[in-house]
Amino acid sequence: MRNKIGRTITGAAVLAVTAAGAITGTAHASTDVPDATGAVTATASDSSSAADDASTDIGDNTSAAVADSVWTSRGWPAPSADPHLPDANGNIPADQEEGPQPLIDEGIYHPDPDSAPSSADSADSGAAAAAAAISGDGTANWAYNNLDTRWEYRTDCANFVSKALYHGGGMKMRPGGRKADNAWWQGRYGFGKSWSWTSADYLRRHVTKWRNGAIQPHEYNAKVGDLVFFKWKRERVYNHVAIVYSMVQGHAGIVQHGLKNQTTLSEVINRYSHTSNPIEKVTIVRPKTR
Amino acid sequence: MRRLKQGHVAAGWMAAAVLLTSGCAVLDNSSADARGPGASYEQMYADHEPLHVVGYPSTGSLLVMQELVWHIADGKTAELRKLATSDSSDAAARKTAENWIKGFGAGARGKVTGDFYDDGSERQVVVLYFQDTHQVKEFTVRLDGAAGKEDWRVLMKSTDFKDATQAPGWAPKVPGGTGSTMKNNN
Repeated sequence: MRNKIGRTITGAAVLAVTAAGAITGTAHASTDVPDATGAVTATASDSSSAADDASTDIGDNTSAAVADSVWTSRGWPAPSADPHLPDANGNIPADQEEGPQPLIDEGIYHPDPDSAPSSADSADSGAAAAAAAISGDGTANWAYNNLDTRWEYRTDCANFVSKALYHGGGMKMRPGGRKADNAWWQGRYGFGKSWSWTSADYLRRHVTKWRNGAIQPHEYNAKVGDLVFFKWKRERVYNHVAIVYSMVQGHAGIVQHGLKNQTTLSEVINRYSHTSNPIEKVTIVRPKTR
Repeated sequence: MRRLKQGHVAAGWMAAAVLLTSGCAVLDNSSADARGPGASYEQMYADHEPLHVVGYPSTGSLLVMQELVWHIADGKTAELRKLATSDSSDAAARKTAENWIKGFGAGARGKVTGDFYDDGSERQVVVLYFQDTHQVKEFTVRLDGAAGKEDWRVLMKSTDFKDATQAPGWAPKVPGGTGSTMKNNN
């Protein structure tokens, strides 16, 4: 078993780091996805179009219709004045759809004054930086201690991870259109949750592009609190996410709302390894910025 | 006294009427679970050979697999295509449906056993054994769709006929041969 796991996860050249940083299992090289360097971008594009096609809700339009005063009273900028947010018709700005984008300036929204560095002193700066970072231990501990929390959706993996990031890791909500990558929120103004909160692929794009997420090249680089995203070979996007809660001899134990709430990365990969739809990519992300 | 008795009789009829009404509502709800504009789930079930089940299906994974076998048996390409996940294009789903109907139509009209692997909470691998034609085929079903609107669907990306009808090399020769758990295959 261990040998088989090794071949799957860390065998020579089996895990190739793509330009975008995703771990790609070349043993399961897909014929229906672009080459390694384009894999992440391509799947993200597919995700966008697929989601748009599948969706019939009016979350974006509704959220765009909220009066500016509602947002400004909570310390967030008025949507009508913010180029990152959808316009009055709910359309997401073209520069936010896909492709390389600059990371958001953390100072734009001023949503969490406690995370802003308050001193030029190096020690204080270090403490402030730590306070501004997402707590991996906090994320993992919350997840581990709340595995039995109610499933709110039939596919609850991303919602569970988002709650762990929020309640345990200290990650702050961000305003924006319901389907916008830069947004991440729940329970705001009665609109439920953003797609980045409830969809694994949207959450992956959010933490990598908007939370300064660092992609780990190998399983043994993972740390407690990292997020693990799974993509099956014949599926267009990443459809599952879990949280690393332990590292033992380079192998990650994960917690999740999924098939088994507490399992290992190896076990999840092995479960599907011999089927016609194996897990072909595992991307481990360490979100940093609160 | 007589008036009291009549009151009891009237109340009895009222209660019976209420029970009948609610009973109908229950039946209607169960019927609404079956997809498609045509026949109800009950009618579809009655019109086909019952799917023999081994393993660990959930209500969702079982329902979608029953519909898959029925539509293959009936040659309903359009209905079968509607079961596809969002992973495939409309053209790919249609071609896959055509391939499956062509490849498994005869077998689906006979006795079929579904081996449901591991757990059907969100996704599941299901192997169908078509007894009359001695064919074996692996399918993947999963919950698909935006949060709150998920439904069970079938992965349909086999546009090549050979791929669409290829038997899985890992599956046991008889249903339940590995205890319907993947770890016994590792």
